Amino acid sequence: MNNNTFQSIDPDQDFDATDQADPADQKNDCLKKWMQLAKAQQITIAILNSELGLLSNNMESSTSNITSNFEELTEFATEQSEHLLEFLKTSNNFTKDNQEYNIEAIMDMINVAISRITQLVVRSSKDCLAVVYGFDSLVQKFSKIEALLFDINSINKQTNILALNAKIEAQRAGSHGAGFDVVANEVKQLSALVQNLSESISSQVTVVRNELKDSFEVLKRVAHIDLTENTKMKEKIDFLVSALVNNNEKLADRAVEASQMIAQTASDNLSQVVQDMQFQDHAKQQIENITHILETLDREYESLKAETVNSIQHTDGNLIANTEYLKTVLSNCSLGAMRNRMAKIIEENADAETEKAMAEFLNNDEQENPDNQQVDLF
Amino acid sequence: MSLNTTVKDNALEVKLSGRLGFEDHVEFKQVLDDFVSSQCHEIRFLLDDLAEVDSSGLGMFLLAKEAADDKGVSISLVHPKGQVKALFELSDFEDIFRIVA
Repeated sequence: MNNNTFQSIDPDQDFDATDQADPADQKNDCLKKWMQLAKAQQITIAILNSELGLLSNNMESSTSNITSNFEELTEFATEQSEHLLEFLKTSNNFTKDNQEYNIEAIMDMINVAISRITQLVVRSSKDCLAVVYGFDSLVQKFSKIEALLFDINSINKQTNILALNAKIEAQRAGSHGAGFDVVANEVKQLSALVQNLSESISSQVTVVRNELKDSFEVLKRVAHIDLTENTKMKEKIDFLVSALVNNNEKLADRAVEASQMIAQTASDNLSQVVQDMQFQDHAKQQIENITHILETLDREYESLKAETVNSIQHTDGNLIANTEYLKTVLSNCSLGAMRNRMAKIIEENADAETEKAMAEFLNNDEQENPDNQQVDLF
Repeated sequence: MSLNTTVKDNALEVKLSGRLGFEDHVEFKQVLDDFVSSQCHEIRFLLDDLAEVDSSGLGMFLLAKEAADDKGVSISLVHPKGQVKALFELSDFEDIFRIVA
């Protein structure tokens, strides 16, 4: 980098002063140099004003972008938390075939189904018991029939004995008892028939009793069902539903808290960012002030130049900037892009000769200090 | 299961304890028959000590309800607890009986 200062500038050849020069000419030359410096300063002021304007615009644009991005970030964070909250709120529901279902409602349906099944089982048990009671009644009646058969058998035995006694008496009576013997034989045969009939009835009663006993066992199995599992299942379902709903409510509550915290934090951060970004307003105002000061200075230069030109001899008033001053200004700028902008402004404000001198200077400087041409990146 | 009956204020009180199941149906039926032929205008089952009941036991209560309805008198289930109470709820007994908690 070139660290030249204005003190090192050689006087322009046209205005060389010598020891032998006239004091009035020396004064005139000195004034010319001041005028050249003033011109160079005016160009520099134009450069600085342009750079300050650019800086101010860049700062404003960047600040606006940062604020806008932060607002988007805040909105995004808030939306995210709202989506999460919505998800948690609806996690107890789901839809199938355009029908919305709720976990609690489904569990209620299951409980109702268990209750219905239990009721059916209980009513079936009741009906079975009613049949069992009917069987008990039948068994009692069969017992009465068996008691009656027992009585018939007793009577039959007595009848048989009576027939036997009659036969004995008939034989003892000889020919006079022959008819009676026939009757005794008939009674005995009748007794045998009754005996057979009684045994047949008793056998049938036994068969029916056994069949009733088998049916009774079947009814007992149907009627006797342990429903404890049903109550346990209902308790489990109630517990699970309660735990599930409770868990979801807790999650939703936490999501609400998190959502509120995110929204609050985002809002606070955004406020802080906006507040922090106010430095840009201050900086802009400061830059504007500096610009005004420089413009004022420029006007003063212009005014003083008009005044001074009249007092300088041998000049047409169209003073040009001393290129050495401008070279020094450019040499002290290390930013490539800024140097290019500065060169353009010099070109706009200088005459052809100065422009040519500056182009040569920049060309040489580019070769000697290639680092100055690099784009400045952050 | 053990079963004790007393008559109090013209009501038959049947105190049940232990486990009521199918094997108790004969004894239970006898109580119902006695009740039907009695002059009692109410039957109360005292269930404080009834620990467990199965579907037959619940069916017996329904038969008792039918018997009481046929006789035109009231029936109540008093102080069911634990598994018995849970099964009463599951079977919607509160819609059928007067249950005294």
